[in-house]
Amino acid sequence: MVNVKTVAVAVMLAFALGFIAFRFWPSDERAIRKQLALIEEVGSKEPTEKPIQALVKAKQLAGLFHDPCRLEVEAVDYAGEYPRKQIMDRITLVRASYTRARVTLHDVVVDIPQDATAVVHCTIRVQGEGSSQPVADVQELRADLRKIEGDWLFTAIRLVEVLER
Amino acid sequence: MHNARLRRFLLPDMNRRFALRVVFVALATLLIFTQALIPLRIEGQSMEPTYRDGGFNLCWRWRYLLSAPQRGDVVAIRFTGRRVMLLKRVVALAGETVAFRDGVLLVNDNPIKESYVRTPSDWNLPPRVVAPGKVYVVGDNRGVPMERHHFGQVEQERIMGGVLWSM
Repeated sequence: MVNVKTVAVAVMLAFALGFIAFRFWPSDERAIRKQLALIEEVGSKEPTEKPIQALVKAKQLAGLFHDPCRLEVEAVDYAGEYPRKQIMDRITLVRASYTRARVTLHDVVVDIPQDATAVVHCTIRVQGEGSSQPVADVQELRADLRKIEGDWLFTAIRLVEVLER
Repeated sequence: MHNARLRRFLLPDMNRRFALRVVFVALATLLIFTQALIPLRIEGQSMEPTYRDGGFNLCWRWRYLLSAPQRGDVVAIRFTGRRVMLLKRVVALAGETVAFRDGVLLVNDNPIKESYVRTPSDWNLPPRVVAPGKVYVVGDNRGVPMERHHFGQVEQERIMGGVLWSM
């Protein structure tokens, strides 16, 4: 005869397995969030970073973008398309202007309206130090992604204007 | 008698009633601090000296439930969500013309006395009309260059609420 204790343990085990499956089952959203986590990790910079590491990180970051990728900055009414090489050069330049930087993404919302296309809304925050002065910036970001050969790549990035001068 | 009460309060019996009380208090706290009073950790100098870098405050979410923000109010402005918000002061309302001339704020061409601004400023900004449904917000610290300061008109729906107290 099955006792209550065994049933309780079985139910708890089932819940735990269900939670693990839900948490770690591979999905498109999880793959996109992984790309975003990579932006945080590789975008950040420690003061001890060597030039070769900086180049590797810039290449890694640029690899997340589709070639070309559209960039829109609402505040200055700018829109343009950039090849991956130019994105990488730009990333190298911007990261070099910081001695220390911490990139974080907050309130991330991933929407996958169709197969192989996704839209991400989030708040990007950069805190750091550039030429001995503290630098801090925060922007609202909207990004379009497309799944190309199994990888989710950024096809367009828009910096949303929250405060319009 | 008094001692027994104090003892019961500090060291309650671990019974069902106590467990229910703990659950109720936890739920009420969760509800209050996610829906009504959002804790804010202030980072940055844009609202100094009114709100110091590293300070703590609470955003009162229901402040504008029945009324619209007024000039002089300090509001919390959300981006995508509410993990990162901007703390700014409302300086002009929809339909008003706002400008800066040699650091002086002009609303509808009238200079506004801002007692909360303590740093000298040289800001110059041509006049602009605040669009319907928006308010114009600026930080109190005008000592920083204008280019490095987040300010401008913002949709009222982005205002999460008012700040509970000032320093």
